[in-house]
This record gives sequence, C-alpha cells and structure tokens, in this order.
Amino acid sequence: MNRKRIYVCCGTGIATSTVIVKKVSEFLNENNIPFDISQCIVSDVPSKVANKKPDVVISSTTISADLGGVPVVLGRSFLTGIGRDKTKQELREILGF
Amino acid sequence: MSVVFDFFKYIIDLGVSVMMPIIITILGVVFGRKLTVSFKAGLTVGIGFIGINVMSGVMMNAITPVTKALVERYNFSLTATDIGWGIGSSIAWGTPVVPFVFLAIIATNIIMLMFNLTKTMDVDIWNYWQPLFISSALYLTTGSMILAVLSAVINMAIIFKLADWTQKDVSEVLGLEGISLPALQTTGWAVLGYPMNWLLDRIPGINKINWTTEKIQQKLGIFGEPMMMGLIIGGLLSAVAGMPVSDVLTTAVSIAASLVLIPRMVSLLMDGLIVISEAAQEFMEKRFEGREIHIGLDAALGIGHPFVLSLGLLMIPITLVLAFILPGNKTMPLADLTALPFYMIFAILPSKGNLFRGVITGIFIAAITLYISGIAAPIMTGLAADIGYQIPGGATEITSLAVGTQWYSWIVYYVLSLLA
Repeated sequence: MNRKRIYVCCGTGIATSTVIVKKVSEFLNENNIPFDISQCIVSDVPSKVANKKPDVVISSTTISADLGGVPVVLGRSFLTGIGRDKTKQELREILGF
Repeated sequence: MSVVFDFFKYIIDLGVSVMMPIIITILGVVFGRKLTVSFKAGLTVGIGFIGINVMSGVMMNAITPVTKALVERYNFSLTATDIGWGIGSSIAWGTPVVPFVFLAIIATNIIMLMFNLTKTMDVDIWNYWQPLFISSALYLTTGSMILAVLSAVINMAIIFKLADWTQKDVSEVLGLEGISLPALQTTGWAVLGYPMNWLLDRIPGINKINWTTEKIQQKLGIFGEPMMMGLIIGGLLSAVAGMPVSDVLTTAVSIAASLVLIPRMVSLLMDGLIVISEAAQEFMEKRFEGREIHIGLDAALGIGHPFVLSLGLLMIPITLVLAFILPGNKTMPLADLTALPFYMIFAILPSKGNLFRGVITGIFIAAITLYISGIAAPIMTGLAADIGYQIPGGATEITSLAVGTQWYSWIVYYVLSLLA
C-alpha cells in the first residue's frame, strides 16, 4: 500500500493539531497503514496543498479556502471524544482501508 | 522540612528544562498514569524548553541589533519587541507556580461545575498558560504563592462565566456545537465586542454599513503565513534601520526562521502535556457524566471561520500602523501578528460577520493590546531572564501581544499586587 499523505491543521499549527496528529497516528498504526503526517496552520493549507497534494486534510476548524478536490475531514471528535468512531469511519473510506 | 525545601530550591535552580520534567512526571502519576509514560511526557516537555531557549536566542540576536539601530537613528520608540505567544506560553509553563496553579484551576472548574455555576468543562489544559502567565508574574513581583494561585482562580472563574454566556453564538455562528471557548485572549473581548455591536447598531448611517469578507483571504492570505510575515517585517525593519544589504538579508531570513521554528519547539511542550491533559479530561468526565456540559476547548477551533480569518488578516496591517501612530506605544508587533484572529473572534461574532463592525471593534482591541503589551514588557523580560532564557541587555525589552490581549487578567494582577 502507498504511504498516505496527511496534513493536519488548526488555528496555530501547534495546539489542537498536535493532539489530532497523535490520535490519528495511533489509529493508523493500529491498522498498519503507512503514512506521512504533517502539521500546519489553517492559513497555510492552500499553499501547502498546492505544493504537494495530500490524500486527506484533517482540520480542527473550518477550511473555507479551495483545496482543489482534496477531501477535508473535521477532526474535532479527536479532541472531544464525541463521534470519534464516525470520524474514523470517514477516514477509512477516504484512505480506503 | 528544610531538607525538603532545600531540595525544591535545588531543583528549581537547575532551571526549567530539569524542573518541568519532574513536575510533569509527578502530575502524570497523580492523575493515575504509568510512571514510564509520565516520565517520557515530562522529558519531552524538557526537550521543548531547550529547543525554545535556543530558538528564542536566534530570534533575539536577529532583532535586537535592528531595534538598537532604529532607536539610534530615528529615536525609535517601539523598544518592546513582540516575540510571540510561543515564548510567552513557555515562560508561563516554566515557573515554580505551575503545579499549584494547575491543580487550583482544575479544582475551580470542578467546584463551579458541582455547584452549577458553570456548564463549561475546560479540558484545554494547554491554554492554562494564560492564567499561569499572570500567576508567574505575581510570583515574580510579590513572591507570594497564595496571590499567584488566587489570581488564576479569579481569572478562570471569570472566563468560565464568559464562556457560558457566549456559548450560544459560538455554537450557532461558528458552528461549534457543545463547545465553549474559555480562553482569556479570545473570550475576554466579548465584554467589549457585544456592547460595541449594540452601540454601532444604534448610530444612524453607520448601522447600515455591512462589508462581507469574500476575497480577502486570497488577497491577504500570504500575511497569514509566519515565514512570509517574518521575512517581510524583518527585512523592512532592518532596511529602514539603514543596515547593510547583507545584514538585511540575514535578518529577514533569521526572523522568518524563528517564526517557523519556535512554534515547532512549542509543539514539543504541547506533545508532552497531552498525557496530563488526557488524564485530567478523563478525571473530570467521570465526575460529570450525564450532565449537560459544554466542553471548553482551544479557540483555535474558531479561527478557520472565513470571517474570523479574514478580519485577522485585515488587522495585520492595521495593527502595524497603529503601533507607529499611537502616542506612547512602545510595542513593536511582530510574532503574534499571525495570531491576531484569536483576539478578533469577538470583534466580529456579535454582528455575525459584518466586517466593517469587526474592523471598528478590532481597532480598539488592537490598540488596547498594544498598550498592555508595553506595560507587560518589563515583567515578561524579567520572567524570561528568571527561567534562564538568554535575553540580550540594553535598550530593548521583550513582550507578546498574546500576553497583552488578556486584558482583564492584568486588572486582576494590579489589584492583587496592591494586597502584597
């Protein structure tokens, strides 16, 4: 399986995205999915996506910019615990496992 | 007893990168995490502190000569450089008040939840740094641990109430269901934002103006990227300071590098704190299962909303201009310009996205933030030196807009200082 490229972003590129990176990494490792994950600020996302297209962008906040068809998943459930299974299912479908 | 005290003093004197791993390990174990897990988290935090220390040195060494040259050349009055919330938060998490204030904040939250005084369960442990900064400042200037803890209790009690009152708009306008934002820097401004909106609504003519936010993001988006921001401001300032081209170029790149790398180091602190934050979250959730509760999270969740982000970007040039024209201002805004959306959420939320009103209220917020950041500069400089960051001497001071923008906590600071 190809390495999945994942961008995780939030308002600072530090705070909530660090938590999401940790949770998503745990989830993908459990399922033996190889991946590259990187963090950024929400205002950085468009230029980062333009440079290199990821398989999915996971964000703790709304992304209003146009990402040219790259799927965006709202990762808030990784912070609150509410609806985490649904978000995981969404990731399964997008990444195809 | 004195042996215990001597031991603590010995550890504290070894500096933040030794003290914090020990504190985090202990806190982790207290909240029922394994010793190995807690220790690794603690060590990660210690490593983060070393990284921040190195990077803040790089930034200070780049910016200090520029400020000095500007002072000599133009009698430049903006002598307190905004080196950003990253360093501000690391200072707050790096003083001896941390374990006591940390537990006091959790206790305050639990007690308020128990007595139905709030619906907000604040699991945003990372942003405890905001009340922690004031506590650390009080501990530095008064030496009183009691006042330090008391300030955090007051500051957080206020923010839990504000988070409750604003939760409806946070949910309906920002779309964050079941979430409230107990962040001093953000929700503290609701106290200004809502009355301002009410006032603007009653001024004939003005109340008809409505700007929308389309296109601003594409046009100003580049300023929201820390590396471009650092490059442009670093380059411009050193050019205006009359430095040779070689220095202008190296300064520009060094500032850009600092604005990218300091947050990377801060994310190590954050990473280590996740263990504590998860444990505290479980601890609280167990106690309030089945209650109607709003989960208090980082205001970062609201930043992506188009009208918040657009206003934040628009406020970057406005804040820079304000810094130069406001009489008596000594804050040179820099690193926290990219964090402006955080302070602007409640400038635009009350009007549900009217950019005109956002800018009007935003100007007040920016101006007050600049002045308070100036007042906070000697305290932040003192705290930074205290925990062992290399601060070059001379005419310059350090500050952070994030520290200045938590406005009411400074009133608490001054009132409690008088009690000492």
